[in-house]
Amino acid sequence: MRQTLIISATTIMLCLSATAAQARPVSYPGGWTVMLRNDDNANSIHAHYTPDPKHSVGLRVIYDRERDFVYSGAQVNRLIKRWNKRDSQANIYGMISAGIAVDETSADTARADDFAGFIGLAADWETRRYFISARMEHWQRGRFDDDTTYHGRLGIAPYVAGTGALHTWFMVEGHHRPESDGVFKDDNVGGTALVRFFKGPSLLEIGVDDKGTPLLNYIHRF
Amino acid sequence: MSIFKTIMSASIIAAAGITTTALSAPTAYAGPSAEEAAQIKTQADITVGLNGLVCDFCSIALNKTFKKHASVKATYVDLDTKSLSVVLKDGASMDDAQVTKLVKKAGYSVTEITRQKIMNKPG
Repeated sequence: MRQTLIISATTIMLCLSATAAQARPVSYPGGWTVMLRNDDNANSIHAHYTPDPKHSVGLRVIYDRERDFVYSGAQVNRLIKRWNKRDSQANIYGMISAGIAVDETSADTARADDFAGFIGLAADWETRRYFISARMEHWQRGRFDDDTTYHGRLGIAPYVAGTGALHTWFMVEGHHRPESDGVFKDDNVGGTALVRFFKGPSLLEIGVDDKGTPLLNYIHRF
Repeated sequence: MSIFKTIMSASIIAAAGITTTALSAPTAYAGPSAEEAAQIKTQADITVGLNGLVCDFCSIALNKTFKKHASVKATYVDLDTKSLSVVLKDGASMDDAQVTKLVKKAGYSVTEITRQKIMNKPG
Protein backbone atom coordinates (compact mmCIF):
# COMPACT_ATOMS: atom_id res chain seq x y z
CA MET A 1 0.00 0.00 0.00
CA ARG A 2 2.76 2.39 0.97
CA GLN A 3 4.77 1.70 -2.13
CA THR A 4 1.67 1.91 -4.30
CA LEU A 5 0.86 5.38 -2.93
CA ILE A 6 4.38 6.61 -3.47
CA ILE A 7 4.63 5.16 -6.95
CA SER A 8 1.23 6.59 -7.93
CA ALA A 9 1.99 10.09 -6.69
CA THR A 10 5.44 10.20 -8.19
CA THR A 11 4.34 8.70 -11.47
CA ILE A 12 1.62 11.34 -11.83
CA MET A 13 4.16 14.08 -11.30
CA LEU A 14 6.74 12.56 -13.62
CA CYS A 15 4.05 12.14 -16.27
CA LEU A 16 3.13 15.81 -15.92
CA SER A 17 6.71 16.84 -16.37
CA ALA A 18 7.11 14.58 -19.38
CA THR A 19 4.00 15.50 -21.30
CA ALA A 20 3.69 19.27 -20.99
CA ALA A 21 6.02 22.27 -21.10
CA GLN A 22 8.92 30.45 -8.45
CA ALA A 23 9.99 29.67 -8.17
CA ARG A 24 6.65 31.03 -7.12
CA PRO A 25 3.96 28.71 -5.75
CA VAL A 26 1.17 30.28 -7.82
CA SER A 27 1.48 30.47 -11.60
CA TYR A 28 -0.89 31.91 -14.22
CA PRO A 29 -4.45 30.52 -14.63
CA GLY A 30 -4.32 27.21 -16.46
CA GLY A 31 -0.61 26.76 -15.78
CA TRP A 32 1.08 23.65 -14.39
CA THR A 33 4.33 23.77 -12.46
CA VAL A 34 6.68 21.01 -11.33
CA MET A 35 9.24 21.81 -8.63
CA LEU A 36 12.01 19.44 -7.60
CA ARG A 37 14.08 20.37 -4.56
CA ASN A 38 17.03 18.39 -3.26
CA ASP A 39 18.90 20.01 -0.40
CA ASP A 40 20.90 19.03 2.66
CA ASN A 41 17.83 17.80 4.49
CA ALA A 42 15.31 16.42 2.02
CA ASN A 43 14.26 15.55 -1.52
CA SER A 44 10.89 16.83 -2.60
CA ILE A 45 8.56 17.11 -5.56
CA HIS A 46 5.78 19.66 -5.67
CA ALA A 47 3.49 19.66 -8.71
CA HIS A 48 0.65 22.15 -8.85
CA TYR A 49 -2.05 23.56 -11.08
CA THR A 50 -3.18 27.17 -10.99
CA PRO A 51 -6.95 27.50 -11.54
CA ASP A 52 -7.15 31.24 -10.85
CA PRO A 53 -4.67 34.12 -10.32
CA LYS A 54 -4.71 33.70 -6.54
CA HIS A 55 -4.50 29.94 -5.94
CA SER A 56 -2.71 26.77 -6.92
CA VAL A 57 -3.51 23.20 -5.89
CA GLY A 58 -1.23 20.22 -6.14
CA LEU A 59 0.66 17.33 -4.65
CA ARG A 60 3.80 17.38 -2.59
CA VAL A 61 6.03 14.42 -1.79
CA ILE A 62 9.00 14.86 0.53
CA TYR A 63 11.64 12.37 1.58
CA ASP A 64 13.14 13.59 4.86
CA ARG A 65 16.62 12.07 4.86
CA GLU A 66 17.48 13.11 8.42
CA ARG A 67 14.48 11.34 9.97
CA ASP A 68 13.96 8.80 7.19
CA PHE A 69 10.29 9.18 6.35
CA VAL A 70 8.24 10.13 3.31
CA TYR A 71 5.47 12.70 3.43
CA SER A 72 2.84 12.62 0.67
CA GLY A 73 0.09 15.21 0.71
CA ALA A 74 -2.18 17.63 -1.08
CA GLN A 75 -1.14 21.27 -0.97
CA VAL A 76 -2.98 24.54 -1.58
CA ASN A 77 -1.05 27.78 -2.13
CA ARG A 78 -2.60 31.22 -2.01
CA LEU A 79 -1.20 34.49 -3.30
CA ILE A 80 -2.17 36.74 -0.40
CA LYS A 81 -0.82 39.97 -1.79
CA ARG A 82 1.19 41.11 -4.80
CA TRP A 83 2.81 44.49 -5.39
CA ASN A 84 3.58 45.21 -9.04
CA LYS A 85 5.91 48.17 -9.46
CA ARG A 86 7.65 49.55 -12.54
CA ASP A 87 10.95 47.80 -11.77
CA SER A 88 10.02 45.24 -9.16
CA GLN A 89 7.50 42.74 -7.90
CA ALA A 90 6.82 41.61 -4.34
CA ASN A 91 4.59 38.79 -3.14
CA ILE A 92 3.26 37.20 0.02
CA TYR A 93 2.04 33.62 -0.17
CA GLY A 94 0.27 31.32 2.24
CA MET A 95 0.54 27.53 1.98
CA ILE A 96 -1.26 24.65 3.61
CA SER A 97 -0.82 20.93 3.11
CA ALA A 98 -2.29 17.75 4.58
CA GLY A 99 -1.25 14.17 3.98
CA ILE A 100 0.42 11.15 5.48
CA ALA A 101 3.91 10.42 6.78
CA VAL A 102 5.32 6.95 6.17
CA ASP A 103 8.43 5.52 7.79
CA GLU A 104 11.27 4.50 5.50
CA THR A 105 13.32 2.70 8.14
CA SER A 106 13.48 -1.09 8.33
CA ALA A 107 10.26 -2.91 9.24
CA ASP A 108 11.30 -3.92 12.78
CA THR A 109 11.91 -0.31 13.87
CA ALA A 110 9.38 1.48 11.67
CA ARG A 111 6.88 3.86 13.21
CA ALA A 112 3.24 3.50 12.17
CA ASP A 113 1.96 5.79 9.44
CA ASP A 114 0.56 9.06 10.74
CA PHE A 115 -1.33 12.06 9.48
CA ALA A 116 0.82 15.11 8.86
CA GLY A 117 0.66 18.57 7.41
CA PHE A 118 1.97 22.07 7.51
CA ILE A 119 1.08 25.71 7.23
CA GLY A 120 3.55 28.11 5.70
CA LEU A 121 4.16 31.69 4.77
CA ALA A 122 6.51 32.93 2.06
CA ALA A 123 7.47 36.36 0.80
CA ASP A 124 9.71 37.62 -1.98
CA TRP A 125 10.85 40.84 -3.57
CA GLU A 126 12.54 40.82 -6.93
CA THR A 127 13.92 43.16 -9.56
CA ARG A 128 15.81 42.08 -12.64
CA ARG A 129 19.03 42.52 -10.65
CA TYR A 130 18.22 41.68 -7.01
CA PHE A 131 16.22 38.99 -5.25
CA ILE A 132 15.19 38.55 -1.62
CA SER A 133 12.90 35.85 -0.23
CA ALA A 134 11.90 34.30 3.08
CA ARG A 135 9.85 31.22 3.93
CA MET A 136 8.51 29.65 7.10
CA GLU A 137 6.85 26.24 7.43
CA HIS A 138 5.35 24.81 10.60
CA TRP A 139 4.88 21.04 10.46
CA GLN A 140 2.71 18.74 12.54
CA ARG A 141 3.59 15.08 11.94
CA GLY A 142 2.39 13.06 14.94
CA ARG A 143 4.85 10.21 15.47
CA PHE A 144 7.33 11.84 13.10
CA ASP A 145 7.95 14.98 15.19
CA ASP A 146 6.75 18.53 14.75
CA ASP A 147 9.02 21.32 13.70
CA THR A 148 9.29 24.78 12.23
CA THR A 149 11.76 25.70 9.52
CA TYR A 150 12.88 29.11 8.30
CA HIS A 151 14.61 29.85 5.01
CA GLY A 152 15.92 33.12 3.63
CA ARG A 153 17.58 33.88 0.35
CA LEU A 154 19.51 36.74 -1.27
CA GLY A 155 20.37 36.88 -4.95
CA ILE A 156 22.10 39.11 -7.45
CA ALA A 157 22.17 38.79 -11.22
CA PRO A 158 25.63 39.47 -12.72
CA TYR A 159 23.93 40.80 -15.84
CA VAL A 160 20.37 41.77 -16.73
CA ALA A 161 19.08 39.29 -19.30
CA GLY A 162 16.47 40.10 -21.90
CA THR A 163 13.40 38.16 -22.98
CA GLY A 164 14.20 34.55 -23.85
CA ALA A 165 17.88 34.86 -22.91
CA LEU A 166 19.69 32.79 -20.32
CA HIS A 167 19.23 34.43 -16.91
CA THR A 168 21.92 33.74 -14.32
CA TRP A 169 21.75 34.46 -10.60
CA PHE A 170 24.25 34.07 -7.78
CA MET A 171 22.41 33.33 -4.55
CA VAL A 172 22.96 32.49 -0.91
CA GLU A 173 20.35 30.72 1.17
CA GLY A 174 20.27 30.39 4.92
CA HIS A 175 18.09 28.12 7.03
CA HIS A 176 17.19 27.76 10.66
CA ARG A 177 15.68 24.55 12.04
CA PRO A 178 15.34 25.06 15.80
CA GLU A 179 14.07 21.54 16.44
CA SER A 180 16.71 19.71 14.45
CA ASP A 181 18.07 17.27 17.04
CA GLY A 182 21.48 16.84 15.52
CA VAL A 183 21.28 13.06 15.72
CA PHE A 184 22.55 12.73 12.20
CA LYS A 185 24.20 16.13 11.78
CA ASP A 186 24.40 19.56 13.33
CA ASP A 187 21.75 21.25 11.25
CA ASN A 188 20.12 23.97 13.31
CA VAL A 189 21.64 26.71 11.20
CA GLY A 190 23.19 26.44 7.78
CA GLY A 191 23.89 28.20 4.55
CA THR A 192 24.00 27.30 0.88
CA ALA A 193 25.67 29.05 -2.03
CA LEU A 194 24.01 28.41 -5.36
CA VAL A 195 23.82 29.44 -8.98
CA ARG A 196 20.44 29.76 -10.67
CA PHE A 197 20.11 29.29 -14.43
CA PHE A 198 16.81 30.36 -15.84
CA LYS A 199 15.65 30.20 -19.44
CA GLY A 200 12.11 30.28 -20.73
CA PRO A 201 10.01 27.93 -18.62
CA SER A 202 12.97 26.08 -17.04
CA LEU A 203 14.83 27.02 -13.88
CA LEU A 204 17.80 25.06 -12.56
CA GLU A 205 19.66 25.70 -9.31
CA ILE A 206 22.95 24.06 -8.42
CA GLY A 207 24.69 24.69 -5.13
CA VAL A 208 26.54 23.38 -2.13
CA ASP A 209 25.96 24.05 1.56
CA ASP A 210 28.38 24.83 4.36
CA LYS A 211 28.70 21.12 5.16
CA GLY A 212 29.51 20.18 1.58
CA THR A 213 26.10 18.73 0.73
CA PRO A 214 25.05 19.45 -2.86
CA LEU A 215 21.78 21.18 -3.72
CA LEU A 216 19.87 20.61 -6.96
CA ASN A 217 16.56 22.31 -7.62
CA TYR A 218 14.55 22.32 -10.80
CA ILE A 219 11.33 24.10 -11.74
CA HIS A 220 9.41 23.83 -14.98
CA ARG A 221 6.28 25.77 -15.87
CA PHE A 222 3.91 24.47 -18.51
CA MET B 1 17.48 1.60 -1.55
CA SER B 2 13.74 2.23 -1.30
CA ILE B 3 11.54 2.61 -4.31
CA PHE B 4 11.01 6.26 -3.39
CA LYS B 5 14.72 6.96 -3.42
CA THR B 6 15.07 5.20 -6.77
CA ILE B 7 12.24 7.23 -8.27
CA MET B 8 13.62 10.47 -6.82
CA SER B 9 16.97 9.71 -8.41
CA ALA B 10 15.26 9.04 -11.72
CA SER B 11 13.31 12.28 -11.46
CA ILE B 12 16.50 14.25 -10.82
CA ILE B 13 18.10 12.71 -13.89
CA ALA B 14 14.94 13.48 -15.89
CA ALA B 15 15.00 17.09 -14.67
CA ALA B 16 18.63 17.42 -15.66
CA GLY B 17 17.78 16.05 -19.08
CA ILE B 18 14.86 18.42 -19.57
CA THR B 19 16.97 21.36 -18.45
CA THR B 20 19.84 20.46 -20.74
CA THR B 21 17.40 20.25 -23.62
CA ALA B 22 15.78 23.54 -22.67
CA LEU B 23 19.07 25.38 -22.34
CA SER B 24 20.59 23.96 -25.50
CA ALA B 25 17.52 24.45 -27.71
CA PRO B 26 16.31 27.88 -26.64
CA THR B 27 14.05 28.71 -29.54
CA ALA B 28 11.79 25.76 -28.77
CA TYR B 29 11.07 27.12 -25.28
CA ALA B 30 11.82 30.82 -25.25
CA GLY B 31 9.16 32.06 -27.61
CA PRO B 32 9.75 33.85 -30.90
CA SER B 33 13.16 34.46 -32.48
CA ALA B 34 14.64 37.96 -32.52
CA GLU B 35 13.31 38.47 -36.06
CA GLU B 36 9.84 37.26 -35.13
CA ALA B 37 9.88 39.42 -32.01
CA ALA B 38 10.80 42.50 -34.05
CA GLN B 39 8.01 41.70 -36.51
CA ILE B 40 5.44 41.32 -33.73
CA LYS B 41 6.51 44.64 -32.20
CA THR B 42 6.28 46.38 -35.56
CA GLN B 43 2.90 44.93 -36.40
CA ALA B 44 1.41 45.22 -32.92
CA ASP B 45 -2.13 46.58 -32.83
CA ILE B 46 -1.85 47.13 -29.10
CA THR B 47 1.18 47.89 -26.95
CA VAL B 48 0.69 47.52 -23.21
CA GLY B 49 3.01 49.09 -20.63
CA LEU B 50 3.33 46.84 -17.58
CA ASN B 51 4.24 46.91 -13.93
CA GLY B 52 5.79 43.91 -12.19
CA LEU B 53 7.63 42.51 -15.19
CA VAL B 54 10.86 41.09 -13.78
CA CYS B 55 11.55 37.71 -15.37
CA ASP B 56 10.81 35.25 -18.15
CA PHE B 57 8.14 33.47 -16.07
CA CYS B 58 6.29 36.79 -16.31
CA SER B 59 6.66 36.69 -20.10
CA ILE B 60 5.28 33.16 -20.25
CA ALA B 61 2.31 34.05 -18.05
CA LEU B 62 1.36 37.01 -20.24
CA ASN B 63 1.96 35.24 -23.55
CA LYS B 64 -0.08 32.19 -22.57
CA THR B 65 -2.91 34.22 -21.05
CA PHE B 66 -3.29 36.47 -24.10
CA LYS B 67 -2.87 33.70 -26.68
CA LYS B 68 -5.88 31.89 -25.21
CA HIS B 69 -8.06 34.84 -26.30
CA ALA B 70 -9.80 34.28 -29.63
CA SER B 71 -8.86 37.73 -30.97
CA VAL B 72 -5.10 37.37 -30.46
CA LYS B 73 -2.80 36.26 -33.26
CA ALA B 74 0.64 36.83 -31.69
CA THR B 75 2.24 38.38 -28.62
CA TYR B 76 5.69 39.40 -27.45
CA VAL B 77 6.81 40.53 -24.02
CA ASP B 78 9.85 42.82 -23.91
CA LEU B 79 11.49 42.79 -20.49
CA ASP B 80 13.66 45.80 -21.37
CA THR B 81 10.82 48.14 -22.34
CA LYS B 82 8.42 46.46 -19.87
CA SER B 83 5.80 46.13 -22.55
CA LEU B 84 3.54 43.58 -24.19
CA SER B 85 2.95 43.75 -27.94
CA VAL B 86 -0.28 42.22 -29.17
CA VAL B 87 -1.11 41.46 -32.81
CA LEU B 88 -4.82 40.85 -33.35
CA LYS B 89 -6.36 38.52 -35.89
CA ASP B 90 -7.83 40.16 -39.00
CA GLY B 91 -11.06 41.93 -38.15
CA ALA B 92 -10.72 41.23 -34.44
CA SER B 93 -10.78 43.83 -31.72
CA MET B 94 -9.99 44.09 -28.03
CA ASP B 95 -10.95 47.05 -25.91
CA ASP B 96 -8.90 48.51 -23.06
CA ALA B 97 -11.05 46.83 -20.42
CA GLN B 98 -10.38 43.41 -21.95
CA VAL B 99 -6.65 44.13 -22.15
CA THR B 100 -6.53 45.25 -18.53
CA LYS B 101 -8.55 42.23 -17.43
CA LEU B 102 -6.18 39.79 -19.15
CA VAL B 103 -3.09 41.51 -17.76
CA LYS B 104 -4.57 41.36 -14.27
CA LYS B 105 -5.50 37.69 -14.78
CA ALA B 106 -1.86 36.95 -15.65
CA GLY B 107 -0.83 38.65 -12.40
CA TYR B 108 0.42 42.07 -13.53
CA SER B 109 -0.85 45.64 -13.85
CA VAL B 110 -1.16 48.07 -16.74
CA THR B 111 0.62 51.42 -16.89
CA GLU B 112 -0.58 52.45 -20.33
CA ILE B 113 -2.24 51.10 -23.44
CA THR B 114 -1.34 52.45 -26.86
CA ARG B 115 -2.86 51.46 -30.17
CA GLN B 116 -1.35 51.56 -33.63
CA LYS B 117 -3.30 53.54 -36.16
CA ILE B 118 -4.59 51.32 -38.97
CA MET B 119 -2.91 53.49 -41.62
CA ASN B 120 0.51 52.75 -40.09
CA LYS B 121 0.09 49.00 -39.95
CA PRO B 122 2.20 47.13 -42.54
CA GLY B 123 0.55 44.84 -45.06
